[in-house]
Amino acid sequence: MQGNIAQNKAVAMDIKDVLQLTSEARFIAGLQAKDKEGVLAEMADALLAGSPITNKETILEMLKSREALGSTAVGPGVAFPHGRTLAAQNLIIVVARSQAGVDFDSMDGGPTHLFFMLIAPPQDTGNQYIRSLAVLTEKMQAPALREAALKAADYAAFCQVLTEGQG
Amino acid sequence: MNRQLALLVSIQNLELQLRDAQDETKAKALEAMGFPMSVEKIQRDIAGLLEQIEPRHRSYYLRLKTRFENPVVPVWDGHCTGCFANVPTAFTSVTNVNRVMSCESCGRILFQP
Repeated sequence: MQGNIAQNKAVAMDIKDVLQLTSEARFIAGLQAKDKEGVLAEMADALLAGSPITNKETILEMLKSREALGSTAVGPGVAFPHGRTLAAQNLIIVVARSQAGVDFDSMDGGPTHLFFMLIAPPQDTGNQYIRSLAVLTEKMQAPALREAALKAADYAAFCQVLTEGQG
Repeated sequence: MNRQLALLVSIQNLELQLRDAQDETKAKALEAMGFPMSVEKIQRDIAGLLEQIEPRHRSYYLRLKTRFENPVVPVWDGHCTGCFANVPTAFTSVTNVNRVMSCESCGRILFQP
């Protein structure tokens, strides 16, 4: 089902396209945060670094209101905090990991280790936001890939794991 | 940021979520990924935030909403992103940082993103 969402579009996106929307500066190899609010704040800091967006509160309020609709920790050990905001001019992705895991109100009740934050603008060309989300949620269903992504030594290795499958 | 302005920005962000929730294709795609969007919940949240807005700001916002899809807009590069008119430099001055300001050209409520 999720594969169809990513593929049944005029212009297909793959994981390499999605990774173009993030960068090493927006990759947190080891989160310091121990709770959901802290994770969102730490990831918002990474989002703001090198960005014209200066108002962190606006981003956090949006993410919290989205989480209030239902937790975005839908995959085993993976969360996808996301939403649209007036403050974004283009789609930005922040990636973070926590070896210890964080209680992110996941569906299965377990700790969340991998986080993909998608911040989308009000309008996005070609529905890039939802297509990126579809690619990531589908990709992160593979247990071996999740494990390899968590163990990857650095950002380059992390990207390699995602693009090459099992790593 | 001024608390009233922050609430107005939050309302506008929720309006964006509502737009996705009301778009059948997007809502179905999000639900298939495990992110169901409740139109009713978003509408309730918007109503709850609107109640916290001072009457003068609320009535101004609701009046703008009848004219524009985006009554609250960010200022990028000194321009209102609703009508692209120049925004006076006073917008960013310290004395105005705690005020709800609107575009002199189109009237939209402005914020620094």
